[in-house]
Amino acid sequence: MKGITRLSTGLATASLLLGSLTIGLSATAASAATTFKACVVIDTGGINDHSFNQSAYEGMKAAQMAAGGSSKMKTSYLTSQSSADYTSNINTFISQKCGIIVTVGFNMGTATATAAIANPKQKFAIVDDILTDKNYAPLNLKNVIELTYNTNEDAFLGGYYAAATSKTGVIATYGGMQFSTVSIYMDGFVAGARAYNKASGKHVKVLGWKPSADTKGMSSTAARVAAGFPGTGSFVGNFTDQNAGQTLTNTFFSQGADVVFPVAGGVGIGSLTAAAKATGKMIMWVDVNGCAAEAKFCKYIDASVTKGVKVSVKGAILAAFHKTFNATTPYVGTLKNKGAEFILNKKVSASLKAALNKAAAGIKAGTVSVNPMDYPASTN
Amino acid sequence: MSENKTSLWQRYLSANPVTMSFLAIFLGFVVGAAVIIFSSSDVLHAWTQIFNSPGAILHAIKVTLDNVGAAYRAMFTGSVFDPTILWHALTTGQDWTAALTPISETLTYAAPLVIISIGVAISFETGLFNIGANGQAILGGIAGTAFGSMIHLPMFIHLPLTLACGVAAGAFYGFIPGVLKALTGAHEVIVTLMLNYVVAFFLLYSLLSTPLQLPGQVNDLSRVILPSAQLPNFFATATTLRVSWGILIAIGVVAFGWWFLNRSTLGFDFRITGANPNAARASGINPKKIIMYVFLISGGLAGLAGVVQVDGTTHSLDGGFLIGSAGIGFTAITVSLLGRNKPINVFWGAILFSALGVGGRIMQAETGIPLDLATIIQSAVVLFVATPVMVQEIFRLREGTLHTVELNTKGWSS
Repeated sequence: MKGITRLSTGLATASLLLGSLTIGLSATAASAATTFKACVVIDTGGINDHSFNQSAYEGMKAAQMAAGGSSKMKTSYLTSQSSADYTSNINTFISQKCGIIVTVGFNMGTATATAAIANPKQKFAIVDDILTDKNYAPLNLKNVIELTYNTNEDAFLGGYYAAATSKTGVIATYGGMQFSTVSIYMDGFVAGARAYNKASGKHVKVLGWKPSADTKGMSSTAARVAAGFPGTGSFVGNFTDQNAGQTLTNTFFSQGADVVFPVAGGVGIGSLTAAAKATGKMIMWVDVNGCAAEAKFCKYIDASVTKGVKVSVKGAILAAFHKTFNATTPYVGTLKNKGAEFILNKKVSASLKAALNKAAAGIKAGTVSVNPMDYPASTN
Repeated sequence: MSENKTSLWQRYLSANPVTMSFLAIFLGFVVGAAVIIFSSSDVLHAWTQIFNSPGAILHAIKVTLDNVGAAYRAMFTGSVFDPTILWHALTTGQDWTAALTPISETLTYAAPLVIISIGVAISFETGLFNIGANGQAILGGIAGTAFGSMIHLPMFIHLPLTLACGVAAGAFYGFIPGVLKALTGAHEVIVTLMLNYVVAFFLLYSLLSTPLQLPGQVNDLSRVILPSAQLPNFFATATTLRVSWGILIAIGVVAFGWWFLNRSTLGFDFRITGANPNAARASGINPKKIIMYVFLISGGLAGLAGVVQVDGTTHSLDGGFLIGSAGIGFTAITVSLLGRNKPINVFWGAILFSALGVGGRIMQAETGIPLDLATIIQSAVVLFVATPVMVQEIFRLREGTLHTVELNTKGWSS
C-alpha cells in the first residue's frame, strides 16, 4: 500500500502543477494590457560583459526609470546563445508586440534588416551598425534608427592626452580585429598624438596603428569614413584572449611605450595585468569607464575613451515611448551630445586641462580635425 | 500467478524505462518550479505575509501558482502551441502562421540536434566517447557552406552534394581520432576534445580569409549559400516558419540509427564491442576496424548535423557558429544519455531539449524568468534519468519486469 500512497502524493503534485498551469493561463491572459514594452536582443556576451551588451541593458533600465517605472514601461531582454538565435529572438519580440526592439551589434545587422523589412510597423534600433543591402548600399529603413558613434572624437583627446603625459615619448595602441568600429578609435588616437606633436613641437611616436590612404589614394575625412578607416596595425585577432593582449603590451613596453590604448574589449585586461607587473606604465581604457568596469585595476587606468551605448539606447527607447521616434536622421554619438565621452581618471596639470578643453571645443565646433591625415606624420 | 502476469496498471507502476523517463521529466519540472518559487521576490514576499491576515496563506498559494503557472504556460505555448491561437486558426482558418510558429521553432532547433545525438549515441553504444562531435559538425558546416556558396549547379544535384560535403568533412574529422585510437591507442576523449579547438580556430581563419569570407566584408561572416543548395523551408509561403526539410532528414537519420544498431551486422558488432570488448575480440571481431568505423559514422552524422544547421536555418556562417553554450555537440551527449542511446528515445529527448530551449525564450520574454531555468530543468531531467534508483525510491515503484538499470556507457576506456 505504501507504493500507492507515494504515487498518490506524486499525482497530487502533478495536479497542483496542472492547476497552476490553468490558473496562470487565465491570469496572464487577463493582464495582457497595452503597456509600452521596450525589448533588447543581447548578443552572446550576455548582460554582464562589461561592454556593449551591459551598456545596452543599462540603457533599457535607465529608459524605464525615466519613463516612470515598470507601471509605465515594461522591459524585456533575450540573450542570444548563438548567431542562430538572432532571428528567433527578434521574431519572439515581434510576437510580444514590443514598442521598440533594440539589437546590439553589427552581427545582428542582417537579421535586423530582414525583420524590419518584413514588419514595417515594428520600430527597431540597432547599436553600432548601418544596415545595408547585398551591395553595401545603405537601406535607410524608416522603422530602424541606427545608433553609431564618432569615437574618433574622444579617442583624439585620448591620443592628445597620452602624447602629452608620456615620459618616454612613445605611446601605443592595438585592436581586437580590424573592424571599422575598432580602427576608428585607433585613427582618432593617432590624430590626437599628431596634433599634440604639431602644437608642442615634440616628436611623440605612436606604435600599433599607421593610417593609410584608401585604395584610390584618397585620404580626406569622408574617404576615410567610407573606406572604414584603412591602415595597418597590431591586432590580436579576437576580443577574448587576455594572454595575447598581455604579450603584445609587453612588446610595446619593451619598445619604450609607457601609455597603451587597447581597443579590444576583454583583451585589454591583459594590458592591465602587464601594466600592474611593470612600473610607470599606464593603460587607457575603451568603450566604458575603466575605473567602473575594472575597478581593481583603476590605478593603472589614467583615462577612458567611451562609447555612449547606454545614453543612445535610452534615447532611442524614450523616443519610441514618447512617440517622437524618427529614423530619418540616424543617431550619431559625438563629444557634443555625450555619445562619445573622454573621461579622465587622474588629476592633470592646468595647462594640459586647458589644451584638452580647447581641443574638445574645437572638435565640437568642427574647427579641429580628427583625421590623422590632416596632420604631419613625419615622426611616426 | 507468475511474476510476469501482472495487470497493465501494475506494469505502469513498475520501474519500466518509459515510466521512469516520464517520472524523471516530471521531477525535472518540480525542481524547476522550486527554483522559480525561491528566486521570485513576489512569491517569497507573499509567503512572508502569511501570518498577517487569515486569508494571506491563500493569497500566497495563489501568487505561487500564478508565477509557476505563468512560466510553464509560456514555455508550453512558446514551444508547442498556444490553445487560443490554435482554436482561432481552427475555427476561422486564419493566422495559421502564428499557430504553427512555436512547433516550427522547436523543430528548427531539433533537426540538427537529433542528427548529431544519433551519431553520439552510436559511439556511446560501442563504448567510445566522441566528445568531438561539435568540432566535426563545425567542419561539416564549413565544407557545406564552401560548396553551397561557391559552386554553381542545378538544385537536384547541388543540394545533395552540399549535404554530402558536410558528411564527408565530418567523417574525415572523426576519422582522425579513430585512426589514432586504433593504431596508436591515443585516447579518443583527449584527441576529440583537442580537435574541437583546432576547428574553432580554423573556422575563424576561413571566415577572415579570401575564398569563404563574404566579399567586401571585414567582419567574420561567410558567403551565403546559394538558393540552389539551400534546404527549402517546409512551408514555403510563410517566412516566419523557419522549419526546413532538415527535420525530415533528421527522421531519416533516426530510422537509419534504429536499423543500423538493431538490424545490421556491423551494428551488431558495434554493440557486442560495447558490451564486452574482450568477448568481441574472442568471437572474431576486429576491434581496430570497429573503432575506425564508429568514428567515421559518428563523425559523418555530426558533419551532417552541422551542414543541416547552416543549410536549413542560417544559410551562412559567422564566428559564433555552434560555439559556446550553443555547442550542440555537447548537448548531444546529454541527449544521448537521456535517450539511453536508443535512437527513437534519443529523438524524443532531442525534441524535449529543443522545446525547453525555445519555450524558455518565450518564458523569459513574457515573465522575465531567465532562460537559464530551461537549462536547470534539462540538467535535472538528465540527473534523474542517470539515477533510476532514486526515482524508483521517490515513487516507491516495484522492480521492473525488464532489467532496467543498465549502464549507458562504458566509462572512459574500453
